[in-house]
Amino acid sequence: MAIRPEEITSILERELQSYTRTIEEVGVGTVLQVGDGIARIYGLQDVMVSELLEFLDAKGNPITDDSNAVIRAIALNLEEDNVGAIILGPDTKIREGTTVRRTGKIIEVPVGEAMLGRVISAVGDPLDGKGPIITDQFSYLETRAPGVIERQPVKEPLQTGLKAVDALVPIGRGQRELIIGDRGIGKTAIALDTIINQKGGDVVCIYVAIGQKASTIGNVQRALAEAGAMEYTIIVAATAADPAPMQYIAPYTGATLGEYFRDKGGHALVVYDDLSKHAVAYRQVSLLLRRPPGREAYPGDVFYIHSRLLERAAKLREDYIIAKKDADGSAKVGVNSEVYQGGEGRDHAKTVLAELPNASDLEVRKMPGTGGSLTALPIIETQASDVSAYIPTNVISITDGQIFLEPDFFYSGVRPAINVGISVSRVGRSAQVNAMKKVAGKMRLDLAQYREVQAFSQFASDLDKATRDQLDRGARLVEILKQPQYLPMSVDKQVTIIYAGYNGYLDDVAVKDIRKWEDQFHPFMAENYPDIMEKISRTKDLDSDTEAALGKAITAFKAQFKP
Amino acid sequence: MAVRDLRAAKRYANALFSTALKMDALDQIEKDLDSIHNLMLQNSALHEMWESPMVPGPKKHELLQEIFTDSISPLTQSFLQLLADKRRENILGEVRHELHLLADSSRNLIRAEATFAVAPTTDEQRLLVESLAARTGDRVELTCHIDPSILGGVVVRLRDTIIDGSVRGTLETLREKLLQEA
Repeated sequence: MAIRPEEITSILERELQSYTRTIEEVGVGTVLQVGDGIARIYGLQDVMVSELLEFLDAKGNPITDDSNAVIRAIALNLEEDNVGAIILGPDTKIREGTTVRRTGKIIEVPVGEAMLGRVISAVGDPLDGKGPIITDQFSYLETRAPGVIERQPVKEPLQTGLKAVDALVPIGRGQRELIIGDRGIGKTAIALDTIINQKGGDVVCIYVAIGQKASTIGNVQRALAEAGAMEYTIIVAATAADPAPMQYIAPYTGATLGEYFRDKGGHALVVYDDLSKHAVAYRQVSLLLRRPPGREAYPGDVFYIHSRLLERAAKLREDYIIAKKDADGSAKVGVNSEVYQGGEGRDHAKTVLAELPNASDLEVRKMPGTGGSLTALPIIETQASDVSAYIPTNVISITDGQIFLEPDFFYSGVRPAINVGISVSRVGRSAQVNAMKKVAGKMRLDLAQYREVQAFSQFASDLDKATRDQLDRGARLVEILKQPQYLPMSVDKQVTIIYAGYNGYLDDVAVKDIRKWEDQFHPFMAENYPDIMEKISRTKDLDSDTEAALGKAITAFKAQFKP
Repeated sequence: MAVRDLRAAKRYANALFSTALKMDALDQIEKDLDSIHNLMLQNSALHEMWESPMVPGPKKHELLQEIFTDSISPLTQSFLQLLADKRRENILGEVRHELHLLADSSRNLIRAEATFAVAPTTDEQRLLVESLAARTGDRVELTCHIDPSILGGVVVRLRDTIIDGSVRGTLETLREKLLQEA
């Protein structure tokens, strides 16, 4: 189709006519002092807290960074005679005397489906060289966390694909589960396996890297891409080289991205890797802003910055409407235009429905866009397994449980190096699938007893049979819970192998052969007893018939297994 | 200038202002500070001496007395000595600025800076001053600059506010609006 110039002109003319000339009035100030990502500004009379500011060059144009993005700042400290602001970007072009302009806007970041598969900075700019991100949706960086009325208890599982986690410290959608441990013993690996395990599911993943090496973030991106996990994942990267203000806001950006999916009824998982570095970045910003230091020189509100971040993880309430059975699934208005809130609302809706005249054509259904969840997996790095330091205790008390990683386990080959004795999930049990509940219920106790007897058995040479059995069983359970990296396991496979271990089918297999046994067991089951696996993964339950069939299948496998 | 010093400058300026009001010498003090400022701009040796921590306080008194005896009022003289004694020589410029602001507001006067693309006529200036005065409720003293790059119209800076009525600013907002709709 040919483009006629007069058409373009007429469009522009129409635009111009509708454009009313207004005289712009903006508050301005002058930079007094700049450095370390902080600017002290004189003036800016009516500036708001967290308002975005822009710096102007001598010609009155906004100052930009090397990639032509406007450098902005957030006003954080409003003092009697000056304003302290954190600069989101390089501060080298900003000097004493530079004019600062108010924008009248609170900081917001781009959100939406277009962000999926991308690597972005803390302010939402693309970093992966795949061109601009086209989205017209923006959301505030700091939003109010959902209130009590808008929430419901955690009830759906978030499968991590790790036997040790799914069996012993199950995580539910909407939960905050801390991953804590020393450097280099597999904290990130647990988070990455969880992300990879969401493949083919309905969970969007966001990985927030705070203060990490750019090469590490590159490796994470590559690992996720190779596993085909990038298509439903967003990476928010604030590297060690980025200014502290960027590292400080990065987790909030991740939470905002996740909330977008949560609030439209979807499910999202955010990994904050890690919050120790986030606290350090915030400490730097705070000290430079001359806020008073407290314990370990962290400012007084370091607890609050983490609690308000993690509070945004939530399982939202489901709402119900009464709709015609053949009505469109996206309809948000019921036949009587009532919305019934939560589980009680559903029961109420059912009684209302029964009394309606044409009840047989109607049904109670979940209102689209409700019942979303945002799960948070914060990571904390400890020094020499010291969980009583300031930031670890803070985050432990905020979260709904923790996965504790132990260097001794890691170096003795127990990987993932989860210490199941002190790892807990305070709400996940109610979200665990039934089949898993049945097989894993008492395993925790068995493992705890094993550890106790193991310590004791190192002194005694003569042990009674019961103790020896406990030791044998424990060693095999520990062996079963080992799992290689990047190989998350579906819940049906997890159930069958744990069932075999817990019920003593492995007691006569040598500990060194357990790995091999398991490696051959899963293909054997898939080939010869697909109906058992299919039933477990469909019903998420292990009824007595299936249990009996599973027992027979395991015996059959043992008969042909050669170590 | 560090933020700390700014706070000190405000306090010194307040003290100087109220003393000057009591002694009914505000105009004189303002004029004194302006002339000292100009003198220091012209004579860098004087400025260096004034800010140098190497020169002891009493020596500064002597030199200042010699240089300024007849030209500045005794109040200004003692204010300079006070600054030298308290080792606050570096805030003199800021004190002058703050004092002007205090004096202006006591006279209900606001200084505005206007930037035009072409030299304004006296009528245009009068109109601008009148409308700014109506807006602020104070008398307005206008300083005019010429900057052709704003293309047309006028940009007024009133303390912490910029009122942009320039053609350049209008084009800029139009551009942003078109980009937003794209």
